[in-house]
Amino acid sequence: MDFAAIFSQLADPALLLTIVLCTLYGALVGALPGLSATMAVALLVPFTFFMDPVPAIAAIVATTSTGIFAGDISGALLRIPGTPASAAYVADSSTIAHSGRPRTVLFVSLFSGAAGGVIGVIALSLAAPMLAGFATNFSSYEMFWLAALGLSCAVFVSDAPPAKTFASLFIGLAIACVGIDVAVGMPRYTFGLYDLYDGVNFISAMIGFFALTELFRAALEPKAPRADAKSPKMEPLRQAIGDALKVVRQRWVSVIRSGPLGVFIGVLPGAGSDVAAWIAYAVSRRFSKTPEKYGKGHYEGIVDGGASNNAAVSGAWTPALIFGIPGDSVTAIAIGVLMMKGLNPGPDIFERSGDLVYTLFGAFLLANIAMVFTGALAILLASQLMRMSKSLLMPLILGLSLIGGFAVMNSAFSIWIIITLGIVGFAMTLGGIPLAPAILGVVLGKVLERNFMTSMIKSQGEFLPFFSRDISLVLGVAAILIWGLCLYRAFRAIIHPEKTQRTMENDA
Amino acid sequence: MQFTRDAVTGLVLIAAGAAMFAGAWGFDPPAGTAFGAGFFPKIVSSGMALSGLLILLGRERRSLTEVMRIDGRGVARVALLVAMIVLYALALDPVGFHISTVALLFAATLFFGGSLPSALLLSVLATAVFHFIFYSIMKVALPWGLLLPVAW
Repeated sequence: MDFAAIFSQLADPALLLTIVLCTLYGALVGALPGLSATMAVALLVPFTFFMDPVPAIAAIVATTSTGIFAGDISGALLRIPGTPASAAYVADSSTIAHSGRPRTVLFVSLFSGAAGGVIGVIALSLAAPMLAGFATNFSSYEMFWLAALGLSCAVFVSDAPPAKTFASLFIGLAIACVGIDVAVGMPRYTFGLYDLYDGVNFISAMIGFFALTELFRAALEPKAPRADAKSPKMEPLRQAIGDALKVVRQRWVSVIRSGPLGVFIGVLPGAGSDVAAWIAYAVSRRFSKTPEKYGKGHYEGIVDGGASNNAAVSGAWTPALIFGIPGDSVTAIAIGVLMMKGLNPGPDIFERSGDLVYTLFGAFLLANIAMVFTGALAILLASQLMRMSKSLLMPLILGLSLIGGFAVMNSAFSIWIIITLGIVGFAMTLGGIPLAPAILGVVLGKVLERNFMTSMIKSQGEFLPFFSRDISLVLGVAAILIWGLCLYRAFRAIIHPEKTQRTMENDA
Repeated sequence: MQFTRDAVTGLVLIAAGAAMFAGAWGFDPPAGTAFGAGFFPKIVSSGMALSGLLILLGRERRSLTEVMRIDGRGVARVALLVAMIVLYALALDPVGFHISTVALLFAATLFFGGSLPSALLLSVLATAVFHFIFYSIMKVALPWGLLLPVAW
């Protein structure tokens, strides 16, 4: 590893400018209620198409981490979480904001978010090379089980009912089946359209799922309910920053506890920042001396939740880089970008492009530092951001989606993909089917099928060799156990709906 | 209401799975091999149909994704938005990027409840910005269509 080369790459003004601009962009989109960090990334991807690998990935990371923080802004001021990751502690943050301390609470979540993010980056740069060393001798059997395990984890940790999460996964896998097949090179489900031979263009699919679905939902309401512009009175900035620093310093234990917890949850496929925030909040409450204060304007849960959801952003990159298995929907998008850049994720990524990966980690760190400043700017402009009108925002998102999709394929065909998948995604939300697992399916579909078919051809159609190696046996048994448990839960819901209902309510 | 919705969701998934399975029969394996291009799609489509069946039978009532109320008016509005995008896709090449984008943004701003002056301003300004970013900086070959004689 060549430190000098890495530092000189990180000092590149173009990279720094990209990071600062993307943290600003993430702050803007994250702060607007209803626009998730995932959507911000989906709209960003066409631009990354034209960038070098490091700035492209740095742009995605910078956008996500600030977007996840900025979700707290509308959460505190309007009681509407800007991104799902802020939902866990929205009751606390809005109570504090409405008692006259909106800036303090926002700076608390900014500082704990940045601290969590830094913990996440450190964990990522320590764990990823170790994991990669362990995984270099994986064969197609292990890779198949890993991909299968990755998909099943999504079902297991998802909040939606198992059957619906399964449905979402299979819809994603079905989309991945379109195009020339990986085993014998036969075109499938292309309906004679040559544009589909390469499969469904990934970026267009992303934009359709995350941007258009959101637009359709917004279109359901004739007149967008204008966010109540009566934002709370702001306290002096200097005082807010000082108090926030004091709060975070007093609760450093929470940061130390929830940072690594967030990283761990981020690593699990399918569980991202939102799940991390919920779990960290719950853990914090259980260990707190004053659990009765939670939900009524207590800083402790905000520090825990804020640190863990930003730490999860980095955690999700560990399996993404080493196994090509996304930890959340944003890394699912990022894997597509990595592959576009010829930087295929895999256990040997450190040998193939080690300097590049370490430069990336450096860029992650810079993004979390830049976030402190752009986040502060977003807090200053918070009440203006909240007054941004939906009637102007939605057309811009629409234009950016369609032109961005066009730019990548250079063909109007991308707009057809966007609109088709937008309708599919909208229909899925109407049926209560979550969208994120479908993206995992789209991304992992080809990996899963390639490793499955390679293994089947190697074993000449026998299933037993799938378990013939030590690691593949462990992974295979784990995957089958998880499938069994999910099926059991789904069947129990059929046989004893009332009982399941009750236990689920107890869980929640 | 919830029952019907889950029933519809389940039935749609079963139908889609069945159609996909039927399509997979067309991908015959090459001579001498036991499984070919159709093998994986068959597994996926069976899984899709099975999950549809589970939803249909399960009538699970708990769902974290917020419950949506959709009425005729909502359907009409979504259909209108879809029609606008379809028109845009059709017009992009023959009419050109600039005219179609101004038209789309103008219509979309009015659609989302913006005023006439704001729609005019936004559609023209945003198209200019998109032109600058995508055409001038990122060198995307945006189609000029009718404006081809004045292209630069």
